[in-house]
Amino acid sequence: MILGALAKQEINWLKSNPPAADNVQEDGIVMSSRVRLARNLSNQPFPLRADRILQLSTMDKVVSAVQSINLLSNAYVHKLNDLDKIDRLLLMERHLISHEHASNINGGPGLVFTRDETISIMVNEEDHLRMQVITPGLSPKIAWKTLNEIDDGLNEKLKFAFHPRWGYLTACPTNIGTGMRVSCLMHLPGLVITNEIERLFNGLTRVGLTARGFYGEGTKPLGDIFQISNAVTLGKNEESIIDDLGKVVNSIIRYEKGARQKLLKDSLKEKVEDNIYRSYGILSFAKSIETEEAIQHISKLKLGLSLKMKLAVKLDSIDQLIFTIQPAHLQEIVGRELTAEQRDATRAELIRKSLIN
Amino acid sequence: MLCNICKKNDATIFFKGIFDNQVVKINLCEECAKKKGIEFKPELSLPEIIATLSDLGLPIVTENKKTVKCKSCGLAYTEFKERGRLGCADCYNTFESYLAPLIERIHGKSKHTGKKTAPTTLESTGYEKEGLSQQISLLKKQLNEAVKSEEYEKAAELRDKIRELEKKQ
Ligand SMILES: [Zn+2]
Ligand SMILES: [Zn+2]
Repeated sequence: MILGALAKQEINWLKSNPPAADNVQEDGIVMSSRVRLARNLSNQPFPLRADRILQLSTMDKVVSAVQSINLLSNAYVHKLNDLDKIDRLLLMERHLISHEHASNINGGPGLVFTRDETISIMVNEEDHLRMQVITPGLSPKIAWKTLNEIDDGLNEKLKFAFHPRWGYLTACPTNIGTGMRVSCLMHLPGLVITNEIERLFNGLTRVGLTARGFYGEGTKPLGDIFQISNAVTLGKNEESIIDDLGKVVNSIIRYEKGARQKLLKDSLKEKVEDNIYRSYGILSFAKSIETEEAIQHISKLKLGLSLKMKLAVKLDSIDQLIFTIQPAHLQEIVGRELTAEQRDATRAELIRKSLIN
Repeated sequence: MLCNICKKNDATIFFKGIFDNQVVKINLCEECAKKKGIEFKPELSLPEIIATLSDLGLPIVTENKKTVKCKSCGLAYTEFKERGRLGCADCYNTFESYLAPLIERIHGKSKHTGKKTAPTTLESTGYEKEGLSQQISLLKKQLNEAVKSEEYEKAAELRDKIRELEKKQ
């Protein structure tokens, strides 16, 4: 366990009042925006067909290319095999690496990330490079501007696999073309409570978007938090992918606000408020609580704040709390490995303290 | 809307497939979806899409495709079908005719219109020398395993490939 300092650091891309967001921050509905590019080195098999030695040589190439880029001059470089399980899990909990990358112990998985965690590059995930920029609120254009610069910089040093018709080539044909995924992390409790979320998901499919879970592809949603992202990467340029997603996210914000208005109507109001105060009660007094249950209740508090209920918490610290109560975070913060029971107790204590402050 | 498979029950699970530039909506009832091992997920994985499209009479793999292998990385089309992942950039050339319709179904488009890479990257055949020796040692390992498990046909293939690569060194 060597990443304790990182676990104690606030997550920058969750901080509200983004400097110049594409749109005004909306009641914490959009927590953050992320743009990711998949790139592969030409003339080398993709990581899944390369042995460890070859993967490590890929890592060396990427690291040396990274050194020529100003934006990455203060970046940390990690070979994930040198980190223990808890460290790798911590990186996943902070959305710096995927679940697959955290559990890859045979190959040569690597990670480069800046101190503020805005920019990160996974090396040897299913593609040689998976680079991402995360920014607060609804701001995918800002994220793309930075990521585009980094892509250009790396391309000066590295040859990327590119096909005249199909664009950037990736291990999975679902990512070819731009190799780009844009996503917004959205808190949608209103649509969940009013049972409109599945209709929304069906609608998303029709416009070429998709909803993923809390930790990305193949993971389940936690605390009514979803990642909304583009499904299609070929045949549209990067700017229109971002514009189209932005338009849909703006209408999801409107739906979510509409749903929250419904929650304030007489017939529902008492029930909803009761529900939120119960969550507040549990979080304030519980002596032991599991991650999923905790996130569910914290999500309710986040909703309560947007409904202007009197709760002694701030939106900012609520968002941070969702991340710091995850298992690896707790263990890194106390500096030792904990059993499940110990984690549940530590989690409850951490939540109680943060509600008092 | 009726389920595309049983054509009896109401469909409750929808997703989009693409065929000949036309968006085809695929509608399944819960029962049929379960039978196909598709749970309600906002997104299907590639092998699931391939499997479902095949069931709907849009066959993707025919017998002769099974034997084709990528010259650069040795991936067989059947392996791609199982895992949904290609082995290297050259796979896109090797399997181009099979991938083209699949790619159109996935994306609804067949031509990249976004950012282009620096022009030096365009040629992509064979491996760099540096990776060559590592590639050979990997193949030798596979050869040993093939001999041990008495897969002589595979072993012969691997031997030929090693010889070929050694010539390039
Ligand atoms: Zn059916
Ligand atoms: Zn190949």
